[in-house]
Amino acid sequence: MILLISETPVAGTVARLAKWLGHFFGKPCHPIIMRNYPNNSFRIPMGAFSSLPAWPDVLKDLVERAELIVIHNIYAKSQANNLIYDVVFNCAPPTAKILFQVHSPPLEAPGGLYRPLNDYPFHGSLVIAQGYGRFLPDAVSVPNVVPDATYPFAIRKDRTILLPHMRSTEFRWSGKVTEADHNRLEESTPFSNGYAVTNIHEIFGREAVTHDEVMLRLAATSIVVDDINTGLMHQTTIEGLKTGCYVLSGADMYTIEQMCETLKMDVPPVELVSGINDVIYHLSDPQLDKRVHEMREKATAFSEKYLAEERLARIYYEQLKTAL
Amino acid sequence: MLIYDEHIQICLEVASHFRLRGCAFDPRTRAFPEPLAITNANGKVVTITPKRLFSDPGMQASGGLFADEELSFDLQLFDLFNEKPQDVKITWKNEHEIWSLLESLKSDVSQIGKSPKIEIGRRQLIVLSERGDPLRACVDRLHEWQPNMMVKPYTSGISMAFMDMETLREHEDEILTHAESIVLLTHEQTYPLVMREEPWLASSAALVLVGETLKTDGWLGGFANVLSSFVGPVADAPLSPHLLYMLLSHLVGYTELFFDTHSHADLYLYQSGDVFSGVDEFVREQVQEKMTHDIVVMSKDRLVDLRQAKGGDICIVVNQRKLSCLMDIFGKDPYTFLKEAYQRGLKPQNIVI
Repeated sequence: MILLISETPVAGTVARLAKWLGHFFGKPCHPIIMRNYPNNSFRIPMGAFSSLPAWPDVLKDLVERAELIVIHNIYAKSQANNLIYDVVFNCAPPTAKILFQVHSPPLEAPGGLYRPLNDYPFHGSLVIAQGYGRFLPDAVSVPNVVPDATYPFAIRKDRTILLPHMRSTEFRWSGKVTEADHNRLEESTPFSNGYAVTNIHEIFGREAVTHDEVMLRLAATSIVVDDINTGLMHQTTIEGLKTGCYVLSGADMYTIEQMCETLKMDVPPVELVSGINDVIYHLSDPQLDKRVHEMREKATAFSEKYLAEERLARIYYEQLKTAL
Repeated sequence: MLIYDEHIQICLEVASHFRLRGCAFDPRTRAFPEPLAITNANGKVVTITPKRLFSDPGMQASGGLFADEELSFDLQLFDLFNEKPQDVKITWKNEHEIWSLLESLKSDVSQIGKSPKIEIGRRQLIVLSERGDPLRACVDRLHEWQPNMMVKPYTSGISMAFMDMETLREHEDEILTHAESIVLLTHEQTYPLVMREEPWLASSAALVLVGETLKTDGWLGGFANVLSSFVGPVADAPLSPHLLYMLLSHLVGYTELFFDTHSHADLYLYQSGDVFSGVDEFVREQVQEKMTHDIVVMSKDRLVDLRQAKGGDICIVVNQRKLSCLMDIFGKDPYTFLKEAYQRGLKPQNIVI
C-alpha cells in the first residue's frame, strides 16, 4: 500500500497523484489529507482525515501496512503534525520507504528551513521540476501532474491578459507579480493592442479557485502572465500551454534546464521575459496579434506532445522509483 | 595606536592576529622607514611594502602623517603567514624590534574588563543567542577564553555585539540606520524567532546560520558557503567555541570581502569564458550607465537553457559586490558556476552582444 500524507490538498496535487500512482504501481494508493482550505476549494476524495475522532489510530493502522509513504509539504510544528511524524516514523515497517515532497520555496511560509528534512530520517526527497531543484540539489526532480481539460463545446478566446497570481510578497521567491507590476500593466493597457488585463478576483469574485475553474477560463483567454520576477515557473504556465495561450514567464535558465531534463522535452514555447518592462515591451509590440497566433499554435502542439496528463504521471512514477 | 621609537613613528589603525593596517614614517627623511618588516613566532619575515592608501581622517590627524604619500600598509596576516600567527613583531633593519602584538595585547588587558558587551558601530558583527541556546554556551566559553575578541582595535574595526532578542529590539533603530550587519544565529532557536518577531533583520542584515546547517544554507545567498570555504573542515563539525571563534575571526580578518559590499563600486570581475571582441567596450559602457547586475553572462546567442553554458561561447563577469557570495566557486567552469549561483538565489543576467 502507498500513502500520500498532507496537511492540505496542496492545490489538488495529492489526490491526483494518488490516482496515478495507484494505477502505475498496481497497488492501492490512498491520499490522507488532514483538512481542506478555509473555503473548501478542493474536493478531498475521502473527506478531511482529521475529522475522524480517532484519526491517529486509523493512521497508525494504515502506516503499519504501507510500503511507501510520501509526506507532502508538512512543516508547521503543530500537535497534529507532530503526531503524524511520530506515527509515520515509529510505526512504519522497517522495509517501508518514507519520502518528503517539497512544494514550497525556503525561507518563507510554510517551507521555512525545511525543518522536517533535518529532523526526521527520510529516505529521500522530491522537488517539483519548475526550478525548485535549486533548493535541494540532492532531491529527485518530479513533474507537476497537471490534468487535461476537454470540453464538449467550442470556446472562443477573448482579448484578455490574465494575471492569475493574486498573492505577492516581498520575499525572494514569492514576489511573482508585484502590486507595482500590476499597476504598470494596468497603465500600459491603452498600448496593449486592444488586450485588457484581468485577474482571478475580477473574474470569480474570490482569490482561491480550483484548477478546473482556472482551466475553463484559460480556455477562453489569449494571454497569461506567470511569475515574471523570481525565476521559478508555476502551474499557471503549464495550464496556459495546455489551453493554448500565449504565456509570458520569467523562468530562468536553471528552471528551463530542470524542467526540460525531467520531462524529457524541448524548451517550452513561452515568451521568456525578465521583468515587467519586458512584458510591456512584448504586449505593446504592433505585431502582437501575429505573435499570439504563432505562439498559441506552438503551445497546442507542444502540449499534445509533452504535457498530456498521463505522460506527466508516468514520468512522475519513473522518477519516484529512482528515489526508492 | 601610536608607537614612537627612537628612529621612526608608526600609527596602527588596526592591529590584530588577522590584520595589521597603519602607516610608518621616518621623521628625519620624511619617508617610509625601509626596510620595515613583520615576523611571526616561527621567525618567518615578510618585508612591508608601503602603499598609497586612503586612511581614516582620524588616524591621519592622530598620527600627523601624510596619507597621500606612500607611507601606508594593510597586511592580511592569514594570507602572509598561511596561519593565524600567535605573535607578530614589527622590526626595522632586521634586528630592531619596534612592536609586538602579544606584548601589546598583554598591556591592553586592563581595558578588556571595561569593554562593553554590546558595541554598535557602522560595521557590525552580531552574535544572537537566547538562554539555553547552544550558541550562548559557546559565546560564554569564548568570552572566558578569548576576552579581547570584544575589543574593537583588535577586530579590524568591526563592532562586535553578543546579544539576545530583547537587546536586539532595543538597538533596532541603531542597527537599521547606521550599521552594515552580519548576524550569526542558530537555525533551531533564534532563526524562527527572528522570522516571526523581527523580520526586519532578515532584510537588513546578512544572516549566517551556524551549526549543522552551515554547509547547506546556500539559500541565504551563498555568504555562508564562502565563509565555510575559509573556515575549512570545521564547518562540518557541530557548533563549538572553536568553530565560533574561527567564524568570527575570519569575518573580521577579511573585512573587505564581507563588509561594505553595498558601497563597492560596480566593478566587474572576469569569471570565465572567452572574451570576444566588443566585450571590454560593452562592459565599460554598461558600467558607466550604472549597470548593477550581480552576474552578467554575455553571449552571442540568447541563453534560455542552462545547458547552453556547457561549452558555449560565453563570457561571465561578476559584480565585486557579490564576491562575498561567490568567492568559493570563482573560476569554475561556466555551467557549474551558474548552476551554483542559481542555487544561491542569485539572478544572472544574460546580455546578447
